[in-house]
Amino acid sequence: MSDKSVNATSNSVLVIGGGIAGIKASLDLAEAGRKVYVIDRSPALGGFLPLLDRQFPTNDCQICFLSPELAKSGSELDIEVLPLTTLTALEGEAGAFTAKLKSEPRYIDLDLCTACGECLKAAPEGAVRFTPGLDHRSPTCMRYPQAVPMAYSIDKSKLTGDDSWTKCCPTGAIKLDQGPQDNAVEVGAVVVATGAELFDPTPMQELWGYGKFPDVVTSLEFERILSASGPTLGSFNRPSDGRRPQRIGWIQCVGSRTTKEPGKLYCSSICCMFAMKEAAWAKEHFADDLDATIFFMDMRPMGKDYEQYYQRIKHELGVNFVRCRPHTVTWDAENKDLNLEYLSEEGKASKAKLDMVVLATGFCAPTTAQAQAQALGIDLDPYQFVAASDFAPVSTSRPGVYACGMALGPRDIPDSIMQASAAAMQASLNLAPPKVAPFEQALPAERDVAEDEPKVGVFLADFGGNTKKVVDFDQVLQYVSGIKGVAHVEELSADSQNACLDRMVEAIKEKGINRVVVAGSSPRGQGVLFANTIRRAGLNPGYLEMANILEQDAWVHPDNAVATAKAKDLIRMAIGGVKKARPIFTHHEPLNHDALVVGGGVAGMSAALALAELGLGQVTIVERGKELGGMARNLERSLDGSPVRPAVEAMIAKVETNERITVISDALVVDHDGQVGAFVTGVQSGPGMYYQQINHGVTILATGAKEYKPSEFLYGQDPKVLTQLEMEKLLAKGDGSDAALETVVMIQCVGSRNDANPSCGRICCRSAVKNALWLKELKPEAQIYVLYRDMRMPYVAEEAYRKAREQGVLFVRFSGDDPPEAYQEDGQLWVRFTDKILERKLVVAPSALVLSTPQIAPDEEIEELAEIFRLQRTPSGYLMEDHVKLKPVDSPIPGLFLAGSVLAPKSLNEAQVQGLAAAGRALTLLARESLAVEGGVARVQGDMCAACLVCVRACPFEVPFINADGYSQIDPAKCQGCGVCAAECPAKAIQLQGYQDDQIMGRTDALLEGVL
Amino acid sequence: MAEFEPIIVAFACHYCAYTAADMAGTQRLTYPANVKIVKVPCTGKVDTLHLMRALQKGADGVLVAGCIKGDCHFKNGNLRAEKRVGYVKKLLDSIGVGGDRAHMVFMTAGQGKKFAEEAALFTEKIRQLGPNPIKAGAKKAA
Repeated sequence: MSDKSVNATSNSVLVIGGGIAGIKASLDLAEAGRKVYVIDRSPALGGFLPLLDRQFPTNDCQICFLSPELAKSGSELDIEVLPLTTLTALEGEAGAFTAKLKSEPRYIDLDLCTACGECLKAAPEGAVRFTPGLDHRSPTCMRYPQAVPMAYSIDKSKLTGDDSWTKCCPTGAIKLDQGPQDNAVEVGAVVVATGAELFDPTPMQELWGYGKFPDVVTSLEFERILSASGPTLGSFNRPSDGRRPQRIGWIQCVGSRTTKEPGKLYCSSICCMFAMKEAAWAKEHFADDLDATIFFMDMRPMGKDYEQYYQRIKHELGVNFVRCRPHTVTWDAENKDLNLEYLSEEGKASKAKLDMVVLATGFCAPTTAQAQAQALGIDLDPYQFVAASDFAPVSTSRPGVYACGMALGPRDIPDSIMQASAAAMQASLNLAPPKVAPFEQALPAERDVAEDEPKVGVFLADFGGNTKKVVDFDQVLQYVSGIKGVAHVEELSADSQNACLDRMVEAIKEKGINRVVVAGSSPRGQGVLFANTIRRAGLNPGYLEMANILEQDAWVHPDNAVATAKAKDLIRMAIGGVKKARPIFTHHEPLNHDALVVGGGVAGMSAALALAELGLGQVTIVERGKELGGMARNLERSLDGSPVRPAVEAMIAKVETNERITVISDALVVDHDGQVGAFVTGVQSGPGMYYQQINHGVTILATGAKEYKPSEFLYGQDPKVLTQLEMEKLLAKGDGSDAALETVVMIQCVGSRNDANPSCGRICCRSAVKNALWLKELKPEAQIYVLYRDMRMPYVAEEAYRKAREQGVLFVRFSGDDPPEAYQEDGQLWVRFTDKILERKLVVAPSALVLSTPQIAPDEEIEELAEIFRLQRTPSGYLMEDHVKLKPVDSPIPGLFLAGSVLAPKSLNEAQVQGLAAAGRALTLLARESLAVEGGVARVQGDMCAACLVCVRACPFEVPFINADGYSQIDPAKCQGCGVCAAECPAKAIQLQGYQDDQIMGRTDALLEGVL
Repeated sequence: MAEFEPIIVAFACHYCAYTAADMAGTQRLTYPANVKIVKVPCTGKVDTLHLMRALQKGADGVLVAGCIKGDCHFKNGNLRAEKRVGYVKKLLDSIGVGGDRAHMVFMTAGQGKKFAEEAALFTEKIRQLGPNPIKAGAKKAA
């Protein structure tokens, strides 16, 4: 599992690809104190995400959640972003690589560009790029305001000979003579997150009419039409004539699950979900009367609770689903209709009239995949995605090089994020042990100025000179110096930004300034920079206020007099606020570096091994059973036929022999207390229920799920009725001689996708195909029927499904409302089911009836866990993660992580990914000496609190509680700083640091001074 | 007398509306300079007190700008703000200042255009309403 090189000294990692997987891997590594280089072919980070309007299943806009993180990657952490850059060679070995890089010219000097946008106006159409990919004049990235790097680039192919427009740049950042640059970085490991490309349906024009009929669009194009910031600016019109479409059809599997070149054999895994999302979004927000129909072969919503999303969209939103084989789109010139021709499920030729057709195009490997793999020296799978294996799910063929996200094949955002955290964890094992960085930096002691008369220093910072063009600085300086409490006013003008900041530090010290206002650009961009600067001058960062006289003044008020007057107002407001400012302290709490892992299955063991190998502390595994291994002990082989047992046994042996891991088996967690960095958990073990307490800094819950024991289909009544796991045992005997193997009927979705358990079992389809193939291998003449509702075979699992069909396994579909029946007659077991193509009932007398049963949440066990660890459960009974999409292994409780089937059913591969990911997330905390608890949180003044519980109910994160002294207490480590409690508190006993009521009112009072 | 120029305080949340206002800047979309923005972490932090205080001190209108519904960075702070604005409106009606002087809008971080439009609309509305009656009262008292 690990290829740790003992003498690794490097602390750096190269991440290739700046999509969501690459960003997540970079953030995890940087948070764990690593130096990260992120390279991307395009001019800015983001990958696909900024192009998407909404994401399933929450239908929210995740760029809104990610962009603050991205901005973070632009500032505090040690992440160096190298856009327009590719890898040309990777020399050396794990722990000590030299990565050779080549950067294409941007034609804009990033150090000089202030993203002012002047060039956008002056340059020839389309030559200046600001947004990732799409036309800037209908900018996607208006949903994506924090492009990193926040700067423009130039597409030289769009330029004409006349370069006079380049003079428009106020800082002279346009450098058309730039050439490509070669560079090399020393890194200990590489994470490949190069993503995928959308399948281009143009070569299939004869079938789908894409490129021929304007109203046939791809799903990504449709996403842009839906977007408020897209080319139609939020109005819902079809391309050909601008008419509002009434009937839209989505065609699934365009370019996927097909033998027709250039289509791909595999399943692209996420198109079912995004088609449903688009249909739902279009109906909900644009046209309730829209006739939205999805034309599909199998619906494959396989992620956590995705099945419920499918049912909701089908039954509550009224999106139509037509199971069929769509084959041709034609155009009816007279009615301006599109016609979709398809073969119905019953095999009849049918037609649908549509106003618009959306092609749910799949994904394929980037065109550069092969060159890239060669440069990296890694193997690709037959489809040009990076090859990995079930027991090393994020490892490539070259030690020290890991992969995540769509680089490993099409997958959704949660899977990409988990793999990213897992790859970051694996990369860490090739680096020098994390430096647990001491937190005291070379900073002067903070001056205690809380009680001092305010001496405000006001600094005008116009880096780039954009503000000055509109705002009269002389007037402003003169005005501001006359405001009461202002001790010093200065315009920061020096050659470089750093010199300006140094000058600021000097002035603060020189003049004894104790409150600072910076008037310049938005605090969103430069707040951290100036806060750090005043800290260097010995002032607490809480004593900074910013007046945004660029974005919210000079750029929106072209009139000089108006902008200058408003600048005065904004600065006066900031001064009013900063006079009331108080220090915001970051304090440090001790951090226990040991970890507790609850659950000794594959997910738990992966997490424990990774943390133990890093060697930051001890790891304790608490296992309920007598042995390690969990559900994997029941498995014999994986879908590709490779044996499971030896790999699981090797893993168990590694855990048992690792000096840093203690296993407590036959044990239960009985109590749990404390907070991140200092948890105490009580465990009872053995027949005597021996009680002990474990101290640990982080917790990983990986207790797994249990197999559903069916009551349906005569299970337990007729010995011929088995579960897939029991079938697997039978097959493992290895000779195929068992009489039970003659005629096998398998029934899918037994105990899932029904009222009692609406979830999809996720892995049962793959288990059925695996066992069917195994049986065919042992006994080619065996008769096998698989009765199914949808075959859900993601990515290359689709190939196994195809192979099974080729080998004569009969797949017969049934509907949820017409399930098969099993009955006994004349001492014989019979199965009766409807064949939709023959349109009649068939009867089979099987030698074995195998039920594909799901993993389900063990109700009592999870309830106990949820209670002890204070976690929430989903309606399907599993534990709930912090954010199903972006934080799939984090719990809402800091320091507590979740992995494996305790979240939802997982395959072996996925369980390991989650175990590694949880360890990786834990590492971001453990790689420090102590825990910094940030300020900017809500504080309760105990003697004012009436314990009325308003804050307890109002907090969106359930942080406040009434403590033993009878007043509300808010844990600063858990508080997210929204201030809802402060606003709701009737006694005003709660104040949010940095946004205290007198600070906010200080601003408005200053604005309104003298109005009355 | 010169034309009435209303003073408008806009409380904008860090994650959406304040960012949208910045985007309006990046896109050079102008709106009336009457609108002065106060940044808050979440509109859920905007207290009834803040709104009333601003009006009491002579602001002619108060605008609260948060994330669109369902997209609040802090889950539902914007919905709480909406309730409070509703409460303030009733209060203003009952004391004769007029509930129309308080208003809540919702937008995503990228909707610079929407911010500029809402700012212009609200300014125009307040211009129609005329000065905050409290000002006249204060003058009379003086």
